[in-house]
Amino acid sequence: MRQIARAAARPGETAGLRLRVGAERERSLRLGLVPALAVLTCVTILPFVFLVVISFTQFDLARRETWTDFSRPLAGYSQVLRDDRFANSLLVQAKLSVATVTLQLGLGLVGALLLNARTRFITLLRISFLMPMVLPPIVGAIIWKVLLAPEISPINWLLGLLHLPQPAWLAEPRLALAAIIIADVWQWFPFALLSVLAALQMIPLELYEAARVDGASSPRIFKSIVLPFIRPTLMVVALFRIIDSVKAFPLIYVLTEGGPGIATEATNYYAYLQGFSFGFIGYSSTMAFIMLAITFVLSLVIVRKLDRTVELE
Amino acid sequence: MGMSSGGRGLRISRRKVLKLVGATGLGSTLAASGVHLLPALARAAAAPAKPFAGKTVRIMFIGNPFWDAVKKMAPAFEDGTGIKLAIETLGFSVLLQRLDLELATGGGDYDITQMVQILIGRTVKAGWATDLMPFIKRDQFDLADFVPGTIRPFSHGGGLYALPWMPDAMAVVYRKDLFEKAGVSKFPETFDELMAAAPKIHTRDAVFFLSENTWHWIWPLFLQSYGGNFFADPPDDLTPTFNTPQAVTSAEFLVEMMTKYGLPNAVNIDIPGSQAAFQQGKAAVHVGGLGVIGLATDKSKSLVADRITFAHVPKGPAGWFPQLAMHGYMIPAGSKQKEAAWEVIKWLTSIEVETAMVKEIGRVAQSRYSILRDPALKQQFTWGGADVGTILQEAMYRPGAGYMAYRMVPPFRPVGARIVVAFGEMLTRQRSVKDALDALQRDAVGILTQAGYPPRR
Repeated sequence: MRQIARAAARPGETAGLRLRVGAERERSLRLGLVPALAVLTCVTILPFVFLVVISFTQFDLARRETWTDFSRPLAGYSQVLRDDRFANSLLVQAKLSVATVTLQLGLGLVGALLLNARTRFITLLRISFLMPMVLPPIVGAIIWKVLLAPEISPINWLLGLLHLPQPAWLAEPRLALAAIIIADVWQWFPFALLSVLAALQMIPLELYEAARVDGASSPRIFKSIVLPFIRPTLMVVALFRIIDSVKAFPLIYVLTEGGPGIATEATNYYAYLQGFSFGFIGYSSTMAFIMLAITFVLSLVIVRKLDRTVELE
Repeated sequence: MGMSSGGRGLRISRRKVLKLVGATGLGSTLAASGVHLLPALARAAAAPAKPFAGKTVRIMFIGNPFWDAVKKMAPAFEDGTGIKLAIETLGFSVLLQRLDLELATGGGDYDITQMVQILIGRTVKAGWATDLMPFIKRDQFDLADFVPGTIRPFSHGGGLYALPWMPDAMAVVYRKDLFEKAGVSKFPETFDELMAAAPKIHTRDAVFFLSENTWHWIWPLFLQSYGGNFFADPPDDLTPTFNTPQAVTSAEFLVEMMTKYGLPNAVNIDIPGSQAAFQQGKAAVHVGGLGVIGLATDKSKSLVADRITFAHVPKGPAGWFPQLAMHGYMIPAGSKQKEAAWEVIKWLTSIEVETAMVKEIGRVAQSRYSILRDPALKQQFTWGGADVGTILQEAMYRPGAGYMAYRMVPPFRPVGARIVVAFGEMLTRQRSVKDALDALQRDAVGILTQAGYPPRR
């Protein structure tokens, strides 16, 4: 304060003082960030660093000496390359991600286009669509377990009434993966629907009116007006859903435990088994790191694409 | 073995207090100062001793009616010792994970945990369990009353790392009505007879054969009966032997039985699922541990309770190999209350508690001669007209039960999980039996090497 008073008395020094005050303010702001950064470091960065470090060991819970054994740092990574079950898990994960994200986006888009009206009924409908999303994933999984368990399945009961075959949904390799996909889509397509619906409602009505006056057909309006408007939203939804599809763990855990055989064993479930059922924490960390790297690269590609889309718009 | 037997707590008599006070001159000092504490001290000494007052012993086990009964009996024990029991029961798969993490990290959150049969080798080798032998010797605990076969699995290198909680043997529960209807007068004694009986009894409404999908537990019954095993010579030689001719024959037998005469979703039926299916009358024969199949007698849940009886599992060309399960009470190495935990284990394994368990919940899985030979309890071991006590004893306490050694080797768990995968592939025809077992053999070599047990051959 004394400095400011003095500066006010000598106008020539004002610019320099302003610079100094600006620097002090910046320092204060940086200091203010320290607690948040410390928390972030503790909860995010340190576990990540730990994961990477452990992935270079052969840490086995039952052999404590392996915890700090870095004698063969790439052993886990070379084992992954020879592990058919890991390769299968990546394939299962890819099928799961592609199917769930495609179906969620498709159903979300179609649903949003059908519901794109401004009425009270739509508000109520939106709320009802939120319900699967707000359920804890484990509860969603249990609901589907009940729906698909042959002894009590209402789906099979209905099929029986129609004299149709009543499959053992979770005991057939193809049906088991399909069941997980259906359950995941049921829980998360409302996210796509609500996001796209929000984007649709941001489109100015004048654009539709102008297009109609010019004689544009509905498909043409969709292609030239609607799609460019909602494309960034679709990209963001796809990004979120791809990242989330890698975390379809509760469904696999409750519905199939990765089976029958390894037909539904996605990478996260396989890594979980290695780490928490068998105690091979080092190998599990290696798989987790690889999975993280793949997800990161995929996300980067989508974000770049998204940036380019927004720039073009 | 009563709850007070062998207790090491401070038991101060009124006379001892008076002597102590007199000897230290404390009495005259107090008298001189006009303080009259003696009556109060004497009263305290006369009250029942609670050497562990204020201590809480935390227990983690698989959920079982046994623990519900323990909770009912606990107040008397708590009154006598001052120990409070905090019992946590879990599903089996969750229990296995929690045990691994708890024991490996030496957390000390629990004072008594379940020594699971398939984790015995791993737990003892890793030093996660407390040797109970020093406690047993010090307290002159009556180990001779336990059937040796129920103690042997927990003995390693002169130490004893658990006391038996549930000795169990594989047997069969079957529907007498369905067998009689099909004209089959007695339960098959060999696997050939079993396969021959299947088409006569199997129907769409009640399939012939039911088991749980823990194939690493079910398959060895068939595998060993055909002369095979999981490893060459466990526990010394862990070279896997999953694709031998005996392994292929026995797996083909089991797969045929399950796919032709089992439930369509057999691959997904876990322990509770198999119990429920049999209770609902969906199968004629249920193979499993007596602790699992025995629930068919529960009239409150079982629709078939009055139409069933029990029998031994059949024999194969190489002999009779009913699988045996042994679970025990252990004190984790990280426990900070080992003395209190030992006091609780003594109580839980006592004749009083086990007798009450036989009477209250019909617990047949017993390890004490005192209980097994008690004529007053004989009637309690009869279920569905069959003497289940004798079935269990004949299977469990016969000599030469060393064939279960395969189950207690340290890396059993990941190998067992890989066996479950192989049977999932075989039962859903993703792979032929031979291909699935060849893949299992290859992976087992990798798993054993990874766990630090590279095969010798």
